Amino acid sequence: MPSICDFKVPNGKLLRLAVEFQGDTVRELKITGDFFLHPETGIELLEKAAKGKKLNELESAFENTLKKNKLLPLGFDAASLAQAIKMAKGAP
Amino acid sequence: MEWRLIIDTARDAFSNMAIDKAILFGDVDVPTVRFYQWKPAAVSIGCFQSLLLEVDTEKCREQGINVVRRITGGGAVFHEKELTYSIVLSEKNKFLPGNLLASYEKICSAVIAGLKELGLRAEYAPLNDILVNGKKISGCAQTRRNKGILQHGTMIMGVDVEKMFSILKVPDEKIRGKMIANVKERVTSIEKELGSAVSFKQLADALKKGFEQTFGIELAAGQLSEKELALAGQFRREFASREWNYSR
Repeated sequence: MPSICDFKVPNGKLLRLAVEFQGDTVRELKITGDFFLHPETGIELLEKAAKGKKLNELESAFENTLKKNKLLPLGFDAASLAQAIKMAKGAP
Repeated sequence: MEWRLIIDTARDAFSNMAIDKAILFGDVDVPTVRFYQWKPAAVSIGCFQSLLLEVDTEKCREQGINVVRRITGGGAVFHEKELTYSIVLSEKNKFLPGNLLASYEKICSAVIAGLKELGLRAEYAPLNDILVNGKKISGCAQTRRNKGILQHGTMIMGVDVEKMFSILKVPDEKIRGKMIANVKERVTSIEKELGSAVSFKQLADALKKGFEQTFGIELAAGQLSEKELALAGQFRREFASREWNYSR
């Protein structure tokens, strides 16, 4: 069963995540919410980037994916997305 | 320069989203502005939202309200008493700044100029809102595809917050009342701010002037091309499909 987490990004939009973990590693991630991402097809790249990553590896994985694919998120960033996943896991 | 203006009839949600997409995937060399309404009333959700998390689809069915996923991001919008605008230009246009955030602001400034024509003093609230007296009167969303730019946005003519919240899900039922009160505090309408209702035509005329002044162009009445109509027919089937609307 995926862990569900709502995270309102400070001064940003609402991230609503469904995350499946295997121990401390992300197995599956679905990112939904009222944010913007240009181009929109980049959402699947971000979801894929989290797979197999440990909690402490997420932020840099998202950062690299955004940079490599020239993705522009509006209303969230790599750090807030990683933070939301940690919240879904119940980690501080 | 002359741009095309399409003052459309009220259509269902699937046709409205299909037409905006058809203009974007048609010939974007001539910039197009379209004004339209929704019949029946509808909820549109942002392209990244989960339909099941955001909308009470059963209540929508009972009340005959359409539900559609947009190709733009942003949040769920209840479309009832409003004018919706869309603007489509080539990415190579010389009217908008290349920077995405600046382009939102430029288009919103045309909407603000339109509201000024009605006697309303509005301000831009980044990223995608326009406020009058500190309350939201318009929201918008933009996408860039097929070498074109599409931005569509709502102009709230009147708002029934209770009805809106009867079909939108809230994260916690215990705070539904508080959220309704909060939205009532944060959202306004043209009718409320002017103290009297405006017609779709009055608002469309005012916005037309706002776009013309802001971009230094003339909006000439036009229609959808054969190509756009064919594309719209094809896209309408996609927008009405379960695969698309429940895709996230």
